[in-house]
Amino acid sequence: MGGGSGGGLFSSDIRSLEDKVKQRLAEAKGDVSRHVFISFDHEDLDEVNLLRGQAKNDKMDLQFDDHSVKEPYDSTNADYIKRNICEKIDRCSVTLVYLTDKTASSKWINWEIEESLKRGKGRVSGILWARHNMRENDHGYARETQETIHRGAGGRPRGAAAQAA
Amino acid sequence: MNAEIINRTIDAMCSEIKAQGGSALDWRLLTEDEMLYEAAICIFGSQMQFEMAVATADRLRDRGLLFSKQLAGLADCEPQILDALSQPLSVPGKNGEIRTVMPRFRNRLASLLATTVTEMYGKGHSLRRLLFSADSSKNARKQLMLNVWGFGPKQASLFLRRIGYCADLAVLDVHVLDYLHLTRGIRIAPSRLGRLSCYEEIEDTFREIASRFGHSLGCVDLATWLTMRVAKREAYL
Repeated sequence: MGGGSGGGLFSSDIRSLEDKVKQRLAEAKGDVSRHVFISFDHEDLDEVNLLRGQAKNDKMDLQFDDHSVKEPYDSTNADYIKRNICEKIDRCSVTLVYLTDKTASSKWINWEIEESLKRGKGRVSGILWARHNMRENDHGYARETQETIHRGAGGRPRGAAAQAA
Repeated sequence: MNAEIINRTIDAMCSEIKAQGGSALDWRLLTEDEMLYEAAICIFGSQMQFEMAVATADRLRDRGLLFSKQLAGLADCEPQILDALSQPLSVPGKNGEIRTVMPRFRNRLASLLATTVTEMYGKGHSLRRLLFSADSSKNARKQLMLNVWGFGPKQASLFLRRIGYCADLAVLDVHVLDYLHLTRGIRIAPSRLGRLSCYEEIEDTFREIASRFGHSLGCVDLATWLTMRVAKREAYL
């Protein structure tokens, strides 16, 4: 059974309606873009930039507005850094933790997770969306991607949280 | 792209389709030749892209091969149809450019159309008479499947929709099946839908979905076809 259909429409109607579908899909895709704060260890910056690049590719089913720190803050003043990070977290609905073997030893990630949970205020509170990329030794590109959801205190079921996000 | 966006787009397209309702055909006003032309599009549409099916039917009509009275007395209509299908066709492509394409499965399609014409008109039947004698859209679909070679449930439903006979039958083509998989996780092998009982079962599921949109089954079905077709073409899915 093939794909030819066309309902009761003439070819010219179909073309005009398809243009409208195209426009609506493009608009809808823009509407659902999440504001995301990415928490990551500074040594993983290159990989995170790769992820950011993928989100800008229209052909990829990955889209978000990145509000996280683009470069490590050039400061030794912890209060200044925290204040700036908090501003960014406040702008976002989701905190995405980029998990690698360096995450556990990171100085800032734990604090950023705690702060994200604290500032969730019931919107997406307690939801961390962690993406673990396994690097392939042979070509250096992530081949397998696993998504895991961590729920903090007061977190909602995954489905509900994803919708709320 | 998630199901929510697809559903939102389908909903919007239902309104667009309703606004274009004036262009639908009225089967009572169609001549037998016009019905035969529509039937040819539906027979061809099961094996090729819609635009290609229309171009193929246009070619046959231009050569006088879709005139019912003429065909009924034509002993060698199949070779003539095959000859018409054996030359390349100009078809509008995805971006509006004109492509030259050779129709596929032309032997089979020529045979299906020629057999339909010979059997139906040879016995003094017609599509018009068949439709007037049917007491419901489901019955009309059954009768079409019995009398038109190449018509399964999908093609018969499509024909009835195209000629404006009814809007309560679903055209479960590959795009609609992909939609059911995306939104309901239902995976159906298209070959299974050749059986009317299986087709009607899936159609009932789709009818329930259509009712949530608040539009007729035919309208939602068409909006789904348009949306999924574009979403796949634009690589959103």
